[in-house]
Amino acid sequence: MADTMRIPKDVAMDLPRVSVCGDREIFIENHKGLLEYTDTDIRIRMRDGIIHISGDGLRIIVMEYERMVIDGRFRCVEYEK
Amino acid sequence: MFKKIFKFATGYVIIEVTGKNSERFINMCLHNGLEICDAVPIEGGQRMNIRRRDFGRIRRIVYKCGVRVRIISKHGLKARCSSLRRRCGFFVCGAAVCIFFLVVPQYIWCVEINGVYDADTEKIAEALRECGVYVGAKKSDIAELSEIKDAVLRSSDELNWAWLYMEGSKARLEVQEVTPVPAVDDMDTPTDIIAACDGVIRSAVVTRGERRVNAGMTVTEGELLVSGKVAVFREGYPEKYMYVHSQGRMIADTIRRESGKYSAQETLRIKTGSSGKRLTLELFGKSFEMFRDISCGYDEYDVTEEVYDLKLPIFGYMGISAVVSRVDEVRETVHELSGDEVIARAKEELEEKICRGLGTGAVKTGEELSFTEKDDVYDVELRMYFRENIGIEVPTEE
Repeated sequence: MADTMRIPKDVAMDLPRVSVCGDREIFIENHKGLLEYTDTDIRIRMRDGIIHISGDGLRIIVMEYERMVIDGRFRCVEYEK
Repeated sequence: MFKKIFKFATGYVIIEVTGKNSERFINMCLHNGLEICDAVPIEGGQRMNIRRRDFGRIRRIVYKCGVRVRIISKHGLKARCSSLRRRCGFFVCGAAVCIFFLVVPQYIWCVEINGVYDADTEKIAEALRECGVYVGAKKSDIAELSEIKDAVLRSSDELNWAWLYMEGSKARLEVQEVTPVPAVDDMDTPTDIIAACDGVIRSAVVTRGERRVNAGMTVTEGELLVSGKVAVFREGYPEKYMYVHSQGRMIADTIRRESGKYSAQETLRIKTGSSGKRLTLELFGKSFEMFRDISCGYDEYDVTEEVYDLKLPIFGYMGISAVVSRVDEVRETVHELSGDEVIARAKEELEEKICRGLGTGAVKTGEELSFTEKDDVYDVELRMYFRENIGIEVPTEE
């Protein structure tokens, strides 16, 4: 239906929008909260799963109700169901 | 940049959240609309920034999550102001210094008049005062410097040139006095020529007036040499006189004498090497002595003064001077002079006295020195022989 009406999926289906800028910065919208936070691993809850970010020197620059900016040197971004 | 300024303006608190549910604490903060920045994981929790106004709202969340929150530091404008409030004295002093540097150079704190030898300094200072240049006057109220210079020149006939300089808070007036005009003989006034001292006339050249002496004659002080009253009648006719301004050159051999008593003992003031310093502050035209007793406890002392003005590169003289008086202890000792030394000094002094009373074109032809000594006191007499013009002009008596 979202495809048919050409509405962005993150708006229509409340899906997370993850923007990765190289391996230095990740911008996440529509998150549902923080599950784990260390300087090597960050686990963020989404509507239907978990995003697991691993790397070195991870740091949450800004965290608001719906958006989050993470800084650091990333190794991988993984979706866990 | 604007975000940083906004963050600084609103203020923020760096807190450390420790406990099992530190992530939950963050989530609950977000659900309650609190913004979290710069979250850094630490051992057993996180360190983060939270807005100052939000800090009061986390108490309930802390209670629910069972975490411990510790304030690391407070930042922002309000925190900076509250920390600076304790330095109130410092800022008051700083403000006072700023006001001082802004206000003081706007006034005159010292008026200096240089180059005055014979002129009346008070009169010049009064002329400056009338033009608004005095201690405590506001510089902006002062008229054009060239106008003040003209006013000073008009006020005194003794001045040839003047210029006023403004050096910070100091007004410096440089003046040059008028060179006296040589006296011009008033040829219309009848005068006689009389002898200034005793002597034997060697030559008498009279260009105007009636000669009363000739070469070889001995004259005494005050004797008439040339008369300005000239007879213009023939024998047998009624007496008739013409009064003229006498002129002539009366060269005579003269003797000048001077004598005096001179002691063979001379008192010398020798520095002992012990010295002290006394400070006097001159603040805005007023003098304040820092020490009541300038003697430094010495019985005999000599004082030399040095003045230091406070001058700053942009502001110039700031109206503050320090006068440092160096007080040297001295010891008076009596020094015995030899006879030759006493005579030499006496001769020098007596010669100076004689030369002060000499006429024009005097030439020394000889001298005699005699003395007697009694109880280390020398009675010295100096006789000097001159060939000189002894004629001086005096008004003719009718």
